[in-house]
Amino acid sequence: MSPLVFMSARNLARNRRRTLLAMGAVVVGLCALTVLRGFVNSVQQAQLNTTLLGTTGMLQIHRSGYLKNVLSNPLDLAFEDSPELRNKILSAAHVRALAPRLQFSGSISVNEPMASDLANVGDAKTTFLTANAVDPELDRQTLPQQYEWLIEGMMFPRADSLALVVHRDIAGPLGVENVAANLQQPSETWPVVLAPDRDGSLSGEAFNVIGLLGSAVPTDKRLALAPLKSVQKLLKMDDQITEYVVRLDDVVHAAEVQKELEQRLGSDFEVSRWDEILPFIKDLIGNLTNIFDIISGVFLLVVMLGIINSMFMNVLERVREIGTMMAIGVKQGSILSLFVVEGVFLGALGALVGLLLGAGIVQLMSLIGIPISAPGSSLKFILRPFLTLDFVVTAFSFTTFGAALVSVWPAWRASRLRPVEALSAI
Amino acid sequence: MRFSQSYIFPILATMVGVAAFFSSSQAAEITAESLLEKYDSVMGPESFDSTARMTATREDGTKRVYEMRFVKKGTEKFRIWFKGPAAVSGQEVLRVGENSWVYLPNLKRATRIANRDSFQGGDFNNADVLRVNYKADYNAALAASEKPDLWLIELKAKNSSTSYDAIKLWMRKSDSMPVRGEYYGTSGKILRSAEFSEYKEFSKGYRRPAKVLMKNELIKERSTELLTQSMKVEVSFPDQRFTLPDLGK
Repeated sequence: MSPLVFMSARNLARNRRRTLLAMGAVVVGLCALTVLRGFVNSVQQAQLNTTLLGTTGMLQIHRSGYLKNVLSNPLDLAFEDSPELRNKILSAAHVRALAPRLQFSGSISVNEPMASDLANVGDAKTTFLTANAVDPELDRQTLPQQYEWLIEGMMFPRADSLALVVHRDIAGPLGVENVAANLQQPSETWPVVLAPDRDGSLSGEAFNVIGLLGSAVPTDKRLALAPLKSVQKLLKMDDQITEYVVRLDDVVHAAEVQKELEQRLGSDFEVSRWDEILPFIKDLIGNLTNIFDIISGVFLLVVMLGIINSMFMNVLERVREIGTMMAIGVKQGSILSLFVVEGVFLGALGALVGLLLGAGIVQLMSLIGIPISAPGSSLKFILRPFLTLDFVVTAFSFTTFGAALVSVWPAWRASRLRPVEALSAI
Repeated sequence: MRFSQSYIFPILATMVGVAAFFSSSQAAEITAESLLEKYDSVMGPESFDSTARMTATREDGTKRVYEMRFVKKGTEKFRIWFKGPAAVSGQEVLRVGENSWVYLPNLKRATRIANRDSFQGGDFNNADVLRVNYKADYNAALAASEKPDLWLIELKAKNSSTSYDAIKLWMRKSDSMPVRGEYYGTSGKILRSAEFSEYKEFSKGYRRPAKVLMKNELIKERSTELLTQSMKVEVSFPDQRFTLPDLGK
C-alpha cells in the first residue's frame, strides 16, 4: 500500500494546475460551509440564550395544571414561596439559581386628572399589562440576559420597591419613557396599576416607571417587570408566587434535573423544560439545522462533481502510462487503488485547507462580532460565530469519504483499460 | 279611464282604512322601541338611590359578597360606594358620560376603568352596572318569541364601544318586566345570560326585578347575583357629588 500512497501523491504533484483547481473547489466549498455553519451556530445560540437566560429559563416549576390553565386565571394556581421549597430545589444537582415569580395582569393608567379637572380627561392613558413580579436579586442571577435589554433607567433595587420596568414600546405611548424625569415625580403622579386580586376584587397601587426594556427578539411588548413583594401586597397574596424559574449549570442536564425535581416535589407541582413551554423555539432551531443540512448537501455534491471531473481528466491524460503499468505487470486492483487514493488525497487536503481557512474567518468574525437586529425588535444583537468539533470532524470525514467514493468510478474505468490499446493511445 | 274613476274613491277609502287599521293596531301594540324604553326605565330609572348586594360565585365554588350603594342622576351621572368586604371597603366608582373611574382609598386617587372590564371580578361588566341605557346604545327589533306570554326583542349595537355586540331580551307581555337576557360578543358567541326574578315594588308605582342572576356562558361554573335591597326613585343629588374631587368624601 505504501508505494501506492507515495505514487498517488507524486501523481498529484505532477499536474499541479489540475490538482490545485480540483482542490480549490473543495477548499472554497468547505470554507463557505464552515463560515455558514459558524454563523448558523451563533444565530441558534443567540435564540437559545434569549430563551434560557432571558425569558423562560431552563426549567419552570408551577402548581400542577398551571400551564394548561394559565389563560383563565393564573392566580388561582399560586403557591407559597417557602425556604423549605427553595432548598428542595436548590439542593438538586446542577441547579445553579432559582427565581420566584408571580405572573399577573392588569391595567396601567397615567395622567389621571388631578382635581376637578374633567376637561383634561383626554390626556389620561390606559393600557393592558402582563407583568412578572420578581425579586430583583434572584431574577438577575437566574435570567441575566434580561438585564442586557434594560436600555434606560434601572431595575428596581428591592422586591418591595414601588417601581416598574416596562417595555419601551408601551412606555412611549403612555408618555412615561423619560425615566430620569420620572424619578423626580412625586408619588401622587405615578402611574396606577389596577389588577383584580386573587378573589377578583379590584385593587390598585401607584408605581413609578424607572426602567425601560428593549428586546433583541420580538417579545410581548406588554410584558413588564414588577417588584415581587409590592405585587404580593397589591394582590393580597403575601408569600404567594405562580412559578419558580430555575437555571442549571448547563441546559443539557434539563431532562435529568426535571425528573429529579418532579420526584422531590411530588404531584402537587409540575416541572417543565424550556422546550416544553416554548416548543416553537426548539422547532425554530431544529428547522435552521435542517435547512443548513440541505445546503451542506448541495455544497458537497458540487464539490464531489468537481472531483469526479478532475479524476476522469486524470485518467484520460494518463492512458499510455496506465497501459505501461499494466504491461509491466501492475494488477488491475492496484491501478484502481492508485486513483482512489489520489481522490482521497484531493478530498482530504482540500477539506483540511478549507476548514482551516473557514475556521480562521469564523474566528475573525467572532472577534469583530456581527451586529444584527431581528424584525420587530429594538435592540441589536451581536452575533459571535463559533464552530463545534463535531462539525469539523463530520465535514472532514464526509468530504474525504465522498471523494474516495466518487473516485471509484474513474478509477474503475482506468483499471479496465486493455494494455495494448492503452499503449497505442496518443 | 273615465269609467274607472268612479272606483278610485272607494279603493282609496279602503286602502286608507286598511292602513289606518294596521297603524292603529300597531300603536296599540307594543314596538321594540317602546319595550326598550320600558326596560331602561325599569332597570335604570332616571334618578335613584339604592343599596344592593352582589354575590360572585367563582369556578372553584367560592363566593364573595359585596355591599354597595348606587346613586344615579340623569343618564350621565352615576356613583357607587362599596361598603364591604374589607378588601374593597372605601372604594368608589364614578361615571360621568362615557368615562368611569374607580377611587382607591389606599391611593386617594381615581383611576379610569373600562366599560368592558369585569365589575369587581364578577360576571357583570362595568357597563352592565354603571350604564343601563340600551336605547342610546342599541337598535331594537321585535322577534318571534317561542313563549306565548313573552316578548322577545333583539338588540344590535349601534357602534363598537358598547360592551356587547347583540342582546336578546325576553319581557313579560303582562307587565313588560324583563325575564331573561342573553348577551353576545362580536363573533356571535353567547357570553352571558341573565335571569330576572323577585319582582317587587320598591317605591310607589315603581316595580322592578330585585334579583338579576348573571351567568357566565364561557365558564359555566361562574355566576354573579345582584340583589337590589332598597331603591328610592326620583331622588335629587347635587351635581357636585358627581365630580372627581368629591370622591373619597
